[in-house]
Amino acid sequence: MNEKGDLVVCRCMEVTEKEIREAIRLGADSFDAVKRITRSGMGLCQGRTCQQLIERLISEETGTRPSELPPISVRPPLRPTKLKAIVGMEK
Amino acid sequence: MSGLIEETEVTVIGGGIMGLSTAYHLAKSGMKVVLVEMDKIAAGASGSNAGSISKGDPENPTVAAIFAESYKMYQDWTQSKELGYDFELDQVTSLRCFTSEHIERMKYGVWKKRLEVWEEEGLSLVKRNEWEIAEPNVAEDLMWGIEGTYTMINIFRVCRGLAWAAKKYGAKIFTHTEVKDIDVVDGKVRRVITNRGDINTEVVVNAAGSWAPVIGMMVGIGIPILPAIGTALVTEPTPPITSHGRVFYDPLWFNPDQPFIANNRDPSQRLGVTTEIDRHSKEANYIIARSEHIVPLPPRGAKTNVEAETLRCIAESAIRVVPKLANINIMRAYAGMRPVCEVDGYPILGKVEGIEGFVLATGPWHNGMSYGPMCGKLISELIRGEKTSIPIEEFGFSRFVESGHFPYVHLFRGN
Repeated sequence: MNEKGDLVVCRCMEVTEKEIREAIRLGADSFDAVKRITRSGMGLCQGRTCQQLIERLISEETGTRPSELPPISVRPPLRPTKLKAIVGMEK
Repeated sequence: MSGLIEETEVTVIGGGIMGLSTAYHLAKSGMKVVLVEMDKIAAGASGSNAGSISKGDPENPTVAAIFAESYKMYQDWTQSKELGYDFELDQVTSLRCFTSEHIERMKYGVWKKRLEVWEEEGLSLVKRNEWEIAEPNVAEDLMWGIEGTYTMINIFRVCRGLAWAAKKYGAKIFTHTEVKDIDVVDGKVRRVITNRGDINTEVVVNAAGSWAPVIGMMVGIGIPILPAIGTALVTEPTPPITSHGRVFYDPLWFNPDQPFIANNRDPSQRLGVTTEIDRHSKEANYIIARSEHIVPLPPRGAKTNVEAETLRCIAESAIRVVPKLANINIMRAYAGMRPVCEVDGYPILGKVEGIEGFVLATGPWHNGMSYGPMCGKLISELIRGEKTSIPIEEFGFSRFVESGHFPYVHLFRGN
């Protein structure tokens, strides 16, 4: 399964290892860059599950150590939040 | 600064749609191009918009012509696979909603004209009972609607595709490269100084979007562009609550005197105030946005913050238009700084008198994706000394000189 590269790495958006490696080979050199091409990390978990896996793939493809990759951008809400809860939210 | 890194004909500053398109067209025509971007490709407004493109503009025929040509270009690029990536050009249905009160007020002012233009295009006001079967979840007091279509693209794929294609024609692209200064000798640009070295160049294209004024200061001009922050909420995947690709609602619609820009930093008094509820069938989720308000320019390279008050405003208007959205979860929010010309809201394109080789290609506001492809071509024609295929003199920098806006230094006025 892994050899064919159809292992699902980002399970929220169902992005496979092959798709992610292709994106990296096209020049995506960070988690955010891979996300922008493949939509990995844009699902419900917002990368909590797949971030490290994807960074490992970037590391394998580019030779950059995972610790040297740029941090991902984090924006509110940090957890899924209902719209009505946001309306009740104070400044 | 460290030693020289490049020798080129044209240096494009900014890796958004305007800069990328300019670099692409220049490189394709055989010119030597270097593009520098302080962050990554499409890190600013080009990477944080709804991805919808306009085919026309009811108010300005030149803008309409540019949009139409850009649209053709997107179609051609899709067919020819010119950009390498498939950028998911797609037609989507839309519904603009109005209350009965809006309809009364739309009988005069600028909106009357817009309505007439739409009528000519076959888009007419339809009473709720004719679309309610398709859209039962829209708030009950929205009694009228205009059904139409619009075009969507994947903005990241367009931008990366343009970068890829520009490189294919020989352009060099340096990301994470910040312009520190520009040398002007005898009224002519000579050199761009970056944090990674210098670029000797004959022409500099300022396509730095909201940061264009910072670049302008380096050659001594004030560029009247302000950052208008546009914010969007992304929901979890959910079964459809609406059936149109986009549901619009504009609570300022009824104001016939609505200015093109409300220079106001209060999110509740933002310019435009159009609520857009976009259904994305591929991800089965919604992206909900409301138009922008002016904010102070963030430091270069800083991440664009999402303000809590803005989130609240967007959530509130989404629930106002489609009450059932109240129980849907938001996964994430994003924001971008859209460069708006504070004088008239139109882009600033072309050469600057007195600074030979300095060209402006910026200020498309929230229409960058519609301006970008064609504007890049027009700017490349201008740089090559050709007659532009659409006259762009009306968008020149000289319009501020004529209107007494020059020199217009507004930048460092802080919060």
